[in-house]
Amino acid sequence: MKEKNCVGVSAARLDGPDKVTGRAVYTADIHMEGTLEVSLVRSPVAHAMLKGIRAPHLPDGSFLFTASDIADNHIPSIFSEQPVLASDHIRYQGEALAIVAAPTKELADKLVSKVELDLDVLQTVDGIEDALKEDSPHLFENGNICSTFHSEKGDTEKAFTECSLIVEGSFETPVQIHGFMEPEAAFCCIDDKGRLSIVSSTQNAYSDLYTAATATGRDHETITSRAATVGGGFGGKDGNTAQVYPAVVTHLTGKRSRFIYSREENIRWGMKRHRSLTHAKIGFSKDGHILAADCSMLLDTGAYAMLGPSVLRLGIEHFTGAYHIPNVKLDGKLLYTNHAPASAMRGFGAPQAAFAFENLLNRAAAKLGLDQLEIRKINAVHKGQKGPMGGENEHEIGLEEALDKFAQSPFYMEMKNNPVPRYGYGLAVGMMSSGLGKHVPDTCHVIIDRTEEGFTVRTSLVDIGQGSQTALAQIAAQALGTDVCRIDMQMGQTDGNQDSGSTAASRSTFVCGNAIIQAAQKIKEGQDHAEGVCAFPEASGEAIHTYFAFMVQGAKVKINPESGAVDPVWMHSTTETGCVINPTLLNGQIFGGIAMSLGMTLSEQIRYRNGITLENSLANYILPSSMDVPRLTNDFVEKEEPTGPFGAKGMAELPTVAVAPAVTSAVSSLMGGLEINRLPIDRMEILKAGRKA
Amino acid sequence: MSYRLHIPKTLQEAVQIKKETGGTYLAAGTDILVNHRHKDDLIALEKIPGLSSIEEEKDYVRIGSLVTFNQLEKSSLVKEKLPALWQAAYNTAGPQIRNRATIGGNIGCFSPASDSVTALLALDAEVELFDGKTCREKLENLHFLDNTAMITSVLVPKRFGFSAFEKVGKRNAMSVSVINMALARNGSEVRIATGCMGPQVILCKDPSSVLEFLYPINDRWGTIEYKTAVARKLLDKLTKEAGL
Repeated sequence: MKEKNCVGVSAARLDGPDKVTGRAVYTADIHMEGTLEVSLVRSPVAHAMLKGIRAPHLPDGSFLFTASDIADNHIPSIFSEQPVLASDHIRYQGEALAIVAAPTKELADKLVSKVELDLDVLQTVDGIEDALKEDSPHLFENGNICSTFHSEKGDTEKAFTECSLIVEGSFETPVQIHGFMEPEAAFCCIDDKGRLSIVSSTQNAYSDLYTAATATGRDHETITSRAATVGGGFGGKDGNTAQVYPAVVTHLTGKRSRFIYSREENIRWGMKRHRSLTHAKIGFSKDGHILAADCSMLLDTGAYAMLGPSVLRLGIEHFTGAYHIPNVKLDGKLLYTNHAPASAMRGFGAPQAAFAFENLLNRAAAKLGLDQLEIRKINAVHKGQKGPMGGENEHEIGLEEALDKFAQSPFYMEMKNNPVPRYGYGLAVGMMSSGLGKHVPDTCHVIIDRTEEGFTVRTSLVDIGQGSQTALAQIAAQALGTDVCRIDMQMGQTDGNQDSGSTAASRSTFVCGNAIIQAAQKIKEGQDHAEGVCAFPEASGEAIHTYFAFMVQGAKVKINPESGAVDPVWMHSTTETGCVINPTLLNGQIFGGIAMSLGMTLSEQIRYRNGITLENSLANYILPSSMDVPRLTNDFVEKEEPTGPFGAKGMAELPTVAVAPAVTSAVSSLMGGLEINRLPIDRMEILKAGRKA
Repeated sequence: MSYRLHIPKTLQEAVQIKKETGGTYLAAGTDILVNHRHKDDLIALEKIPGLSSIEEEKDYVRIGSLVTFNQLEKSSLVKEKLPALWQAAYNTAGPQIRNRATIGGNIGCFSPASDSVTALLALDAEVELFDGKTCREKLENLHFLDNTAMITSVLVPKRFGFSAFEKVGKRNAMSVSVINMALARNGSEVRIATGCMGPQVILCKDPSSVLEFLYPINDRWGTIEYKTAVARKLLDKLTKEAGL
């Protein structure tokens, strides 16, 4: 068979034509006769005991369900302490108390507004600071600490006494939303086999099936679930959002139902990025080697844990970033508060940690008389060295090569030489793991069938808009020795598949790519139907993750002298993520990730006042517009990862990690070393610093 | 959202419907349909002819009330003769909204953050109103709250040799103003209008006392300290540009 070159090239997106012509079917596009529209009775207050719910008169064909209608009233997750519907203790404003279903959305909303609630209002735990107070009310019997994490390698205390420079600081990052274009949505019906059928905007069709099974008491075999076209996820559709409510309605009424979040519901009560308070202390030798680091992180997980404990673990694990440090002490606390639950968001704790560590590293570089690139090169981690928890780095690491390539870039030349005083430059390094981590089932199943037209490739993983469908089709075509156009990717449904877990943790290309290659091998050996299975390799030593991708991120900014606004003008990055499957798609993810974190750096935030968000629309939650995104350039270092599909590693979350510290360091260089420790950047801080200068 | 929509074809007909129903005049709806969804009667003006043109008169530029921000932005007459208004139009919202939103609607929505009103106040604009008969009023004297007449056109004097508009928002497009300011100068006549620093756009004719008339509040967009600091900087910038 002729050698094909399907990987390493920018194949056109398979989903492109349907999306640009409007043929793609999103969940909210599904209109079927007799569909009940679902609205939720949500708590008006952040913290209360629910004494009673009085339903209004329900016209024929309208329904109201409360916790007593739910078979097993919890949503399966890490701790599974979140109810489908609160029945006694209300823990956040907007928490679901009852489900209303009616023939029209207007009627459903009207009935919701007529429901009377009997509440005993409690004092609000309005954030991390409140949660830590001795006399604050408890969200759960055991208090407000949801989980903790501690790790110590070497002897940090002793090592700090031997350091010639110690830098230290406290940092804060805001609650951020995912900002996907398509809000949370789900449609349910009973299919012709009598099964409960769920179609939704989801990152994990199987998790929706399990959640619905718990809530309805149905056996898994009597439920089927699939993703419609998904308009963005970024972690915010990893777990239950809208799905369980219409599932309950359709199960109990036998009627079709659907639930589509309004943008206000999405902003207020969709999942969130955790607000963080971090502290880091880093000790250096005279020549710039990091001898010791002591880092801590507090995260606000809101009213329920969801994936918070994993976010804390990953954030802490990534805290000392990409550096080889002999003595490392790490501490973290995840706190319950009366805020809407935070869960997965692209970066998963790593951007919060990098904001602290990378800024401090640049401050140390200035004090040591080292260049920002140089201090990173001195300390860059290599394969075979021990990570922050003591486990050995077992896989390829190309950080040093990425730093060298960045050093050759026009961006860095300009950063070193540009004499124009109105521009500031900074850089930072981001590191991001892929895979779900130790002790978490992380297996992908693939089925390939030979057809008349070519091959079908099936998996339950979902293309949530990032383009995995195209990258995986390229891998399949390459492995099968055929063309991409002969591959029919069928993704995101439970029917005919096995559980391959969530489309999350930058894992799809690696774990599904390897499963595809395995199945393709069997097809090439003559089978017409073949299955492939790949389990994501676990770290063998003391570590949570074992595969890491790296990015050197540069930022060039100017400052508006009247408003204090920071205006990024150029972001250049060098990315090391093994071999590249599709350069255009990869650049798309990188540029999108940078824009996402520019939002958190410059303008995005959810602020709570007594448990209620100040932000409730896209007019006041300030996402960057196309006019706010600067020139973006990226190049790659392709260091082959031998265990990856055609040498690739996962990277979807990577570009979000180092943006904020690169930008704040650039501002700092322009403002005489101004230390920015809080995001989004406060323009008043800039104006005040400008006045002094 | 449900309401009765009236679509009159003449000014007279529109006024008649207004008298009968007490309804609200609707231009493009970029404000009303988003922020004021609970109206019983809306009177759409878009089928009434003659409200959508920009014309040069001897001392004024006459702008029909249904002229869109996009039309203002594309007009070389506005750009040349009324730069403050052109800059305000150019910096309002984004292209989709500028394609719909009208100057009359922007005046009528009576927001302290209306970019065009800040420019128009500085430029000493007048409005022509119709309520069965036509009358004319200086924008600075217009009492919106007890006025039920329809704005049919805006008359902007050409006498200001210098005018400029500045806006600070939270992002570079699709952004409500945190503060905006316009300055128009004709020799010794100076007019400075500031938005978002009180319940309505504030006009001041003496550059040295502008800051005394501003009374910002702490809100989601910024603190009093921040808004005051920016007002001072914008004023410095505009007065310098105006040669004051």
